[in-house]
Amino acid sequence: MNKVYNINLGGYPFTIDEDAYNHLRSYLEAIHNHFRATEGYEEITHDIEARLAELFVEQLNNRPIVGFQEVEDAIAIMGRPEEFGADPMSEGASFTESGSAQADAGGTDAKFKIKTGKRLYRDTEDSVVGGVAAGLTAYFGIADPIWVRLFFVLVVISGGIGIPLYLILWALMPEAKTAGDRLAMRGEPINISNISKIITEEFEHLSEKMTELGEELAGKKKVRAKMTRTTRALRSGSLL
Amino acid sequence: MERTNENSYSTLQAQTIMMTEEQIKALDAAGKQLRRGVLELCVLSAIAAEDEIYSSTIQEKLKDTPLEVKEGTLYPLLTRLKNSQLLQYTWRESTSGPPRKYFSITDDGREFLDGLMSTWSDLVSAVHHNTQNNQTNE
Repeated sequence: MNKVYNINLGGYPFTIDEDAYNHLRSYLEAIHNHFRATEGYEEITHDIEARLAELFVEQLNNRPIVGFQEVEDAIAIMGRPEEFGADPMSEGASFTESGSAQADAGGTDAKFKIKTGKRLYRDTEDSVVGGVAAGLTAYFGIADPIWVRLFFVLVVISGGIGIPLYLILWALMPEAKTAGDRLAMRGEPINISNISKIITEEFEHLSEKMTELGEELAGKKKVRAKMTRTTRALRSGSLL
Repeated sequence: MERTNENSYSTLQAQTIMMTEEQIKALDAAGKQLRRGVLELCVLSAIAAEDEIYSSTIQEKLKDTPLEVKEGTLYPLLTRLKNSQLLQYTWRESTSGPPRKYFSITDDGREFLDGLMSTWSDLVSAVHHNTQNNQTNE
């Protein structure tokens, strides 16, 4: 048994399996993200959705429900955003241009290449105070946030500007909230495979926190157990 | 020296196997730049050859050549060419799904295509001339 959804794709109604629906939704999200900055964004995405609707109708051939395979086949024909390298107006252009610039520079000095397209965010998932140091670490490509933290500690100890400096940065740097923000923070291209990587990381982070919390609770329970044992012992007078 | 296009393309691929990763990247980037410029020319010429044409037919025309692209590549390109008044489209009802946009070339587009074509043939002969000279000098 499979749950189905009713959708409107390119002005055309479809009944679609749940797994196929999720697949199609994440694909369309990637398409919209890819073209959001492109001129004619609405027209392009509308054309793509209408063409997907047409592909579904052709593939279904009077069968009533769109399945996972139909979505896969339609995506294979349309292509994923990372496969659209050939249009100068699309985002792909800036990536390949920086790619060729890097290849040119590659012969002279490979170590001083700075990843392009990075943005400064606070990394609240790897934070001690506000995530400022972690964000700066990602931005400058430093191996470990401990160096940035040490720098802040030294500035705080040596003079008065450390704390105001940190607070100003905290206020100015936006928090990396979405998977897209986290990719931009690291300067990685935003595509489906990278976004799913980030989501997996976030999930692992969450489950780590859960285990920590669990251990903490278990620890408290032990203390509490010890306390009740002591009080019971006190009451029974064995300690007296 | 006479080689068909297809042969030189496959030798190019055969050569990439022996290159370092950096060289492959550089070649890939250069190839992409070249293809990008030429794609616009080929799409315009494919549209000019017909009275009107549907986007998936354009994709089929490019199929099995080194210029083969996913359909998704064409939509931003077509929209841009249409916004520059080089193309126009009409809606046609379809038996299999939503109405389709059929593209045709405008007079401006034809002029632009002629310009591109002469630039392209100039380029081809210049490249041919220069590479030929360099090879005899070696």
